[in-house]
Amino acid sequence: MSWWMGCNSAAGKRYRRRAFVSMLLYLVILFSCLKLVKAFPIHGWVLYALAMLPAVPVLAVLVFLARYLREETDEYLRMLTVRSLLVAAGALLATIVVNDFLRVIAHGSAIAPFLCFIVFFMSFGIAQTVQEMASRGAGDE
Amino acid sequence: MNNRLRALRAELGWSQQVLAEKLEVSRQSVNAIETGRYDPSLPLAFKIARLFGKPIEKIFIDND
Repeated sequence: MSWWMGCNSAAGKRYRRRAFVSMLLYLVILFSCLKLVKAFPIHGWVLYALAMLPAVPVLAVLVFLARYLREETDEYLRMLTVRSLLVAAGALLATIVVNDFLRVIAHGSAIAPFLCFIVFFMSFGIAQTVQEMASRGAGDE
Repeated sequence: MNNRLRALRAELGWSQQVLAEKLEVSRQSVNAIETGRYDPSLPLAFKIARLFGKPIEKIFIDND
C-alpha cells in the first residue's frame, strides 16, 4: 500500500510515528490504570481522573489525523484520506444508530460504546484499502 | 476532465515518478490525474502548465 495515509509523504510518516507512539502510550496507561484501581482503594476525583486517562492517547490520534490533513501538501493524498474519513464517519454513525435501537427496543446492547473507536478506525482502514485496490493498475508505470 | 498530461510527459521521456518529483506531488497523484480519476486544483494545474510551458487549456480539455 504505497500511498496508505500518504505513506511516502513527510506528513504521512509524521502521522504514523505519532499514532504509533500514542497507541503504545494507550496500552501502558490502560493497563497501569486497571492495575492501580484493582490494587488500591481509589475513590473520588482521583478515580475519575484515572478512568479518563486512557482516553487521552486515543483522542490524541484524532488530533494527529487533523494535523496530518493540515500538513499534507499532496492534495490527492489528502482527498483520499478525507474520503476514507467520511466512510469511517458513516460507519461509526450507522453502528451507533443500530446499536442504540437494539438497546432501546430489544433491551440489549450489541457492542460496548468504547468499541466505536475501533469501528471508526477499521472502517477508515478498509476505505483506504478499497481505494488503493480500485486505483491499482489503472495507468501505473 | 480529459488531459494531455501523459502525452506531454512521454514527449519529454519522463516517467510518472520524474514528473511527480518536478511537481512535488506523489506518483499516485500524477497517475490519478493522467487517468482522469482526479482533477487537480487550480494552483496545481497552473504548476503543470508552467512546467510544460503551455497554457492550461492546451493541457486540460473541457468536455462541456
